[in-house]
Amino acid sequence: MNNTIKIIIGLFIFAIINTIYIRYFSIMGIMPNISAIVVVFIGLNMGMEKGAYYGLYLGLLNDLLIGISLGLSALIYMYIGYISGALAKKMYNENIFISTLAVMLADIFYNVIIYCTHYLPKEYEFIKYCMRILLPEAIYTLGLFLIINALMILIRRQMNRGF
Amino acid sequence: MYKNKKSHTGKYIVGVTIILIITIVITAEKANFATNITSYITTPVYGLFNGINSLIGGSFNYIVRIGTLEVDNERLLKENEKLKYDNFILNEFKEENKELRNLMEMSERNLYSVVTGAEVVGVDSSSYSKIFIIDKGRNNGVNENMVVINYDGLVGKVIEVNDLSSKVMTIADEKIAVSCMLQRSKEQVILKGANLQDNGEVCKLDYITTDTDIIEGEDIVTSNISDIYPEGIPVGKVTNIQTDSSNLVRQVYVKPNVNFKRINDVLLIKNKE
Repeated sequence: MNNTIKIIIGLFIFAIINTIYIRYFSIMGIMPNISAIVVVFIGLNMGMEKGAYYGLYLGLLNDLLIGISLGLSALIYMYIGYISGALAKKMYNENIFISTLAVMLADIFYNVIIYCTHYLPKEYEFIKYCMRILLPEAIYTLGLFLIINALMILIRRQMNRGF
Repeated sequence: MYKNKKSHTGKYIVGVTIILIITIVITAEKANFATNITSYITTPVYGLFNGINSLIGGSFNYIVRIGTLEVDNERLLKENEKLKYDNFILNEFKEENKELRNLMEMSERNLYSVVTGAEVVGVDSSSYSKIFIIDKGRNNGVNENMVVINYDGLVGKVIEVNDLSSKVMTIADEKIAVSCMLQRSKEQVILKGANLQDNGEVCKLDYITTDTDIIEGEDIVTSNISDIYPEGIPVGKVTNIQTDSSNLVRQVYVKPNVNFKRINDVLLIKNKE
């Protein structure tokens, strides 16, 4: 099967599984942003163009499944994919620092845009939003990313040894 | 060659951005054609995954509990006997209540009319909003603003209906407000979602002055003057009362009866007529 079709089907199944199982990850109402991790990962490994396209696709899926206004996460994830693709040019072989930075920035970027579009009209304080949502979510997402990354490196090494 | 390609991507990105911003403005807070079409594709997939999920979970549970099944069965049989007896007594009371109401020439209190039961298939993956998807839609008689409850109390209301699925906003979401009353004093209050406050997934009451008769642990039920919610559905308990520095207003936090983490089956009931 074509690689692109594989990724498209994979992302579709990921979006659905994400909404089914994400509630078991909730700590004090904070959920990790796994979609951002996936988009950053695609951007870092496949470059700006594909990062932007797949980000747009995953964001649209998220909007269609659970979002309130169509297109907002699509827009955010498209930029996340594009920017992490641009970052990838500076990345050497398995450089954990750049990818960690990209995931953290992606999550913060997402939540700042959400704050601007959802809560600015209601004058909800930004500091409070940072303490309650933005920082805990960024830390949680980062922790999850580091665990996934470590697992992937382990699997890759095992496979290299095996073949 | 590479540079040329890159500039093309930039153009596409600007174009897509403009199109998406227009879409966001048009579709803000409204059910739309696209989500309805998608629901036809996603609902079967949700069904498949939930089926697999319950199959795995069910057999896992069976293996774990196989040792205690006999003890459990004994306990449940005893409990069943007791419940049968309780039910009998309650039926007696119901009849008596009916007769007394007839004597007083009062109309019978309407019970909530259930439209359909539904299963929660997915939840919003973002930290800021508390929305979930249920597997019943317009084809099953669901309408917008319909009230969603489970056996613990009020869950929320339907905000978007597609043909096969719907989205429910829970009472912990910042964007929702429910007209409620205090069960002891029957005083009217407005309950708002406060999942963005510092103390976790709770709700709060708005406009509580210092002369309102309210205590910690008090029950809150839906109000009799609400347009959407039928009267008397249990909502939650007052957990924390903080007096403002000006001594005029109080911050009152409410813990909902429903545990939003463990929510699987819900009932949809008709709006008040």
